[in-house]
Amino acid sequence: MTESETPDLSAAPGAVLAAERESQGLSRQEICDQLNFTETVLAKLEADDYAALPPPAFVKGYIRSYARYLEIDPEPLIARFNEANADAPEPAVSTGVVPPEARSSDPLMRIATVAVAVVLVLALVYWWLGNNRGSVVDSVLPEETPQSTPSDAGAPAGDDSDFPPDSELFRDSAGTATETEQATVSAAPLQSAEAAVAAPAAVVATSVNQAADQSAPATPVQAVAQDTAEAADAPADAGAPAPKLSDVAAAAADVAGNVLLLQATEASWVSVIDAQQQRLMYGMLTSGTPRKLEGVPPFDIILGVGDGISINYNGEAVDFSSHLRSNRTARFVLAADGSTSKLP
Amino acid sequence: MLLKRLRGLFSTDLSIDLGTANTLIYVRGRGIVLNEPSAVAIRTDPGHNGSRRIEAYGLEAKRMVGRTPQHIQAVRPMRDGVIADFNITEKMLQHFIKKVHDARFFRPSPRVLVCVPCGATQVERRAIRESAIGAGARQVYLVDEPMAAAVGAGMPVDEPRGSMVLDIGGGTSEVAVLSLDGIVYSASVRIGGDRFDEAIINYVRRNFGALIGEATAERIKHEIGSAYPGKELLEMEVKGRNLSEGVPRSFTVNSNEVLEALQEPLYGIVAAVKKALEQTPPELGADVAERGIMLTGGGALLRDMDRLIMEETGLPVLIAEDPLTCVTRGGGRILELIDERGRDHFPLD
Repeated sequence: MTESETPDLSAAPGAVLAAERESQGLSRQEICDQLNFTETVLAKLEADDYAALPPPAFVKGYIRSYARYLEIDPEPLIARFNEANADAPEPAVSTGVVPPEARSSDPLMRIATVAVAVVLVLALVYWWLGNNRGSVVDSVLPEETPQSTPSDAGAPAGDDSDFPPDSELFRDSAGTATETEQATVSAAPLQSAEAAVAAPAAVVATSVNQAADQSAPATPVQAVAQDTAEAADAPADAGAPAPKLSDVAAAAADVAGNVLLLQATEASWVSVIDAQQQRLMYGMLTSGTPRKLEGVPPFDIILGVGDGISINYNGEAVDFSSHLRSNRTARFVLAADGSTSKLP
Repeated sequence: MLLKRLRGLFSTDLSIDLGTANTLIYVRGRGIVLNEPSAVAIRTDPGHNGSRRIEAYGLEAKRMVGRTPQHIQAVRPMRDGVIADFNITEKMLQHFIKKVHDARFFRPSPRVLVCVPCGATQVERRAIRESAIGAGARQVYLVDEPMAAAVGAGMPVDEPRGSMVLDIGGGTSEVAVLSLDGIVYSASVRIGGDRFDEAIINYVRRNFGALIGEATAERIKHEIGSAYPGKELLEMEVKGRNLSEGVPRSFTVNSNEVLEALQEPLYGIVAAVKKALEQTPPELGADVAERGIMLTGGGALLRDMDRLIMEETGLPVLIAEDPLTCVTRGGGRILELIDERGRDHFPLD
């Protein structure tokens, strides 16, 4: 076949092949003999009757074989066949569109990954903080706990000048004093006859009846009482003496039993284990964040910076200066009666 | 395991034709994304107690075959359709899988379907499976190559009619008769493109007294190789080392000589086809006689291969569309069918 005799490839493949065969002077029988086709298959192929032929994979094979035998390019004929049979089902070849799978390089996936990571980190921090508190009861206390004695509880009314009625602002440790009114009291030195407590402190207090004595001087106390009702009654009575800070601590001790109040002026590592081997605290005590611990005495106490911590036990200051070591640590046992002994 | 599943979310299912000559990878929804020679170049470091490391993979490594210095060795880790070097195959697969999962945050852990010769032994299949798992696959399916080839060629294997496929690969040739999504008869002969190359090398040494390499033999096969006497005589100038003189010499080889060289491996394939036809149940044999034998694999591209089978069997022989990728495409389609119809639908290992 010469180049000038190129058949019209725009026609149906069977027609093109039949025309080419005839132009080369070949009979159907000769083609069948050469390509091992049956007469029926060849007749249907040339008639473009694909429905009567095997599936498209075979028909394309027939076209390819036939075209190659006639020495014409089979690809345009295959393309024509594919166009004509575009909607014909191909049983074994995938035609379905597979939804793309999530790729980690997608911006959305990256944002989601970062978001999940941030949530995990926040959850971890939240858990750690919550765990670190341990058995410590949340409480807000003055920066320096008053060095009060039991006698403070029965202090004469003459001491009232140190504790103006509206300065004793109490709040339930569980934060239940919702009916109270919050007031911020400016910092000022607190002087007590029994214990000289003089430290400025930011105070957030709750007053049931702040208006009861507006003229009273502000007192630098940030105190929390266990019993809001009890505390609220005191300032409500303008003529009654306001309870001292030591009273507050004692009241707290009465309610809770064996209560240790730890306060640091310097960050220190603290370990407190009670008689039941309950680890009441095991971690850092930061300056300005008092801790109230409850447990069964005697307590095994280890302080990293002994001279930077003051301890009140049931309202009484604990003197553990004899257990202070040269490296500033302190290890001692605090008995139920408030006495200390060396930690074995 | 959990981590693998997590990584699986960021991986795509793959169908791999781990061939002796070429490795092809089909990715669901994307088609054939990798077609590289199954070759690896290994560098031996003299300064580090002779430790070995991979120098190149695929095409780059194939270019080095027969042209390497002493400390680099270019090898083909697959022989006769099965693993010849387990560790290198694993590394090569790992490299290819990573390559098709470009720009990924996680190391990919895809589901992988690997096509294996139907004549592979249990040990050889296990080696392929473990190699794929070692390369990071979270789940490995093995499917017989003729089944994948037939599905990839578009044959109606699910019909109750016989379909015969002949897949001529680099290391093996597989012939099978399929019906109702199953293999009725299959046979595998360890004859393929590699044996053709060897036959050409031997012929040239014997008849021209010259030594040529695998790459040259492959080039001769591609350019003037044929399986059946053609109308025209093709010639090619080849350079090889003259065995008596010991120096490179040039000589001319023609297509009839190559045909003569290929006689032995070609008739090995023809014998396998004839035996398959003998063993095929008569009803299915009649279907094959009516519809024809489908040729797939790289060997189908050897000039007049269909003509040879046609003359020898008296049946129509058809060359599949894009025969080189039939097995891989068929594997991809089988992966989709597993999802659509369930794992038990196809005979998988």
